[in-house]
Amino acid sequence: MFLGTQLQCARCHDHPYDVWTQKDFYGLAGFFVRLVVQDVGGNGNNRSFAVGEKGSGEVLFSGNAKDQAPGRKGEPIKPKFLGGAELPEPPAPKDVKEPAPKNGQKMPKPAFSRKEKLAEWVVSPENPYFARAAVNRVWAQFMGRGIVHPIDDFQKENTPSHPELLKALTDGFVMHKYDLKWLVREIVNSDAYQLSGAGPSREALPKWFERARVRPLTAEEIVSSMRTVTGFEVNPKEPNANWDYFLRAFGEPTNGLGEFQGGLNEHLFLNNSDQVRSFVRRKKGNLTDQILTSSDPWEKRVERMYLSVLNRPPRPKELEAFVSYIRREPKPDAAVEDAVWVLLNSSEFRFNH
Amino acid sequence: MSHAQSHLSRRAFIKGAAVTGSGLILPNWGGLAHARSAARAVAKNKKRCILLWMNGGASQIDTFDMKPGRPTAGPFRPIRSKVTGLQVCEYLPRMAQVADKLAVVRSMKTQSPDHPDGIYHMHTCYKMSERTPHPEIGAVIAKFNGNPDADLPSFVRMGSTGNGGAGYLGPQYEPFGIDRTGRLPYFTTPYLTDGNEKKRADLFRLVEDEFQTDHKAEPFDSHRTGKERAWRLLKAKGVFDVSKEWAKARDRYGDTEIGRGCFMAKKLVEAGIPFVEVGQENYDSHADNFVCHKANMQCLDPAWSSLLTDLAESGQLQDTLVIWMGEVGRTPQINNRAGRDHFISAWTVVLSGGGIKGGVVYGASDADGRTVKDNPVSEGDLFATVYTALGIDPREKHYHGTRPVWLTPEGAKPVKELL
Repeated sequence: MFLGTQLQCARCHDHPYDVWTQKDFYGLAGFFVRLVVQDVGGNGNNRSFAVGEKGSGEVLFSGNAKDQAPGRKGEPIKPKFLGGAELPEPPAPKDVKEPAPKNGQKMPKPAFSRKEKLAEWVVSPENPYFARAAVNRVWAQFMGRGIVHPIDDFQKENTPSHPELLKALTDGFVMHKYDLKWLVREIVNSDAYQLSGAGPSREALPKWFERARVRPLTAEEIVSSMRTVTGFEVNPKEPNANWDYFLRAFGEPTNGLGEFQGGLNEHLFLNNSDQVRSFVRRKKGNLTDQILTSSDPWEKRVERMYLSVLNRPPRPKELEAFVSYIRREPKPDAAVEDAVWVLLNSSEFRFNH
Repeated sequence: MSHAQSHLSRRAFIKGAAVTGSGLILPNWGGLAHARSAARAVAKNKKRCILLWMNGGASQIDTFDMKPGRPTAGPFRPIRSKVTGLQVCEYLPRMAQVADKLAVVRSMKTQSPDHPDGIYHMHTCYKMSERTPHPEIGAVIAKFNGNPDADLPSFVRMGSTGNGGAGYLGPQYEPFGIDRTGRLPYFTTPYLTDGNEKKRADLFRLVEDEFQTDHKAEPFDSHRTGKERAWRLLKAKGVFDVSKEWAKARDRYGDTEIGRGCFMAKKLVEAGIPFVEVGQENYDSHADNFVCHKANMQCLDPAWSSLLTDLAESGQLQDTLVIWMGEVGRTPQINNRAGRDHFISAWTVVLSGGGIKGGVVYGASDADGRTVKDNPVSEGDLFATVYTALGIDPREKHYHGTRPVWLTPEGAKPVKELL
């Protein structure tokens, strides 16, 4: 998270491609081994937890996972900063008695806190990882992919797409004393961020940032967007009604690499469910109703529909098709419902692009 | 495609003709995302698979690895089968008659002893605790042997058993769940009439066409493909209604859940669906093992044997692999409630069809069935055997994030004697 480095391989064996060894993994784990999660009161859904730290406890390291056998014990291993030195530690006092806080009380800070030392190191200038990892992460949040991608995989085999840019942003970030607002402002004011999603490239997350990335909305964003654009009235007693259905139908629509993959369930739900239909069916005051009660010519009303859902006027061909779709019905109710449905189902609505 | 009933869309036929005729893959919007696999799928008729899942774990000693005269034998008697040297339980008389089609693996030695982890492990061939979201066997077969242009889903599950889903392969390969009577899941009944649905679909296509004139990214294709598949499925869903034919088949398959499930599975693979899983419940007999197993086998025997016979008669058995297994076996030791508990040291799985040799017994347990005596088979070995038989490379590589992952674990080997 803070260091942008993947160490999990080194849990069981030395990293196959990178420099990390199991000692790096367990050395870093040494900073966390004394942490405990405490229940500090409350009940039911309102319970609070705190992270406390004990004054003793060591990571035991017993070698490669494939050589493990029941009963085999490891050697204690000293905490070590990633890619750096071992933590200088005062000798542990003999016979430490761990405090046993009563119910609901927080653990007192130990005489020597490894957690505090790690936190100091993470944001210190000696740590080469933090600033570039933070910059890359924030960049990826806005642009869909990192300059180093995936964002937590800085390593020599995985070089940045734009090394000069990464360096400039990292230096600037340090110079501005890790000011996130400065960083966000730099990114969103850039030409790169403001590019349109149109273009011939087929990649969802273009490596050279030559156009905006394509991001599928999450299930939650889809429900909220549908509600907002159709003027769906939220029942204050049940603000989250229907969310379950959306979460189930949309799930997490990616393959293992984070690329979008549309599922059958999503479309069966969009096409046939009453949950989605409730957004488009005429109901007093909603978008369908407003379009139907207006006395403007249909051209104007279709334009309004487009502005409400897609935030742009229709193209000439779309305008013609929608107007004739609605006009050929003797009663327009169902046709307007369909038309709003089509816009809610379009790629343009489904993705942020 | 050789099956007249295949639900293959017209577009796929055109594309198929282009592939086989000229050796070129025609670009078209629906095919681009899957051009390679589509070409492979249309180019030759892929093999299919039916998984008969014995939920809870069937007892090997009371079915296909009997130990007559030993303290672990239990009360059931063995009967002779069509294969010399293979005896089966007296409650599987019809399976005994089709034993020449079976490969009985008596030396399963597996690692996950309980239900959730065993179900995961025996559906994915990976440990649940590993945390990588591995795909189930159904999703793998759907991806490699399914046709992305087919009208029907490529991974169908009756009842609920597997717990891994499509994993890192993505939602396109998630199971399509129906119940054992063939009832479809929610949202498969349109609220529009056919005519109105078509008009609405055409308006949607026009909007997408307009958008795609200057927006070419792949997710937009994928969105549109998903929508078209949902529409095609509804047109083809009659396949799931077998009520008419069931009246004629009922006497042979048995008027039971598993009977109807097996019949349904046969109809679905005939319609071109590459993977169907159907489960039979109530094998977890920690108490009254023999009452449970006698009842279960009497339902299973006509269902399973009719399935194999029908597939063989219509010439489909050579292209359809039928797997019989559960998440665990059951202990040789009979406990004080006349039950048998979970057992993973030496248990039995049965394969047939799809290029697997018939009339074979592979591996052996010791005299009392407590350990594997010959040729242990792991989860990975079993899956490697099945994938190889179905024409899928067991070492096919994917990535989950930055980590390479394979369809079967390192060291897994197909059992050559069965292929």
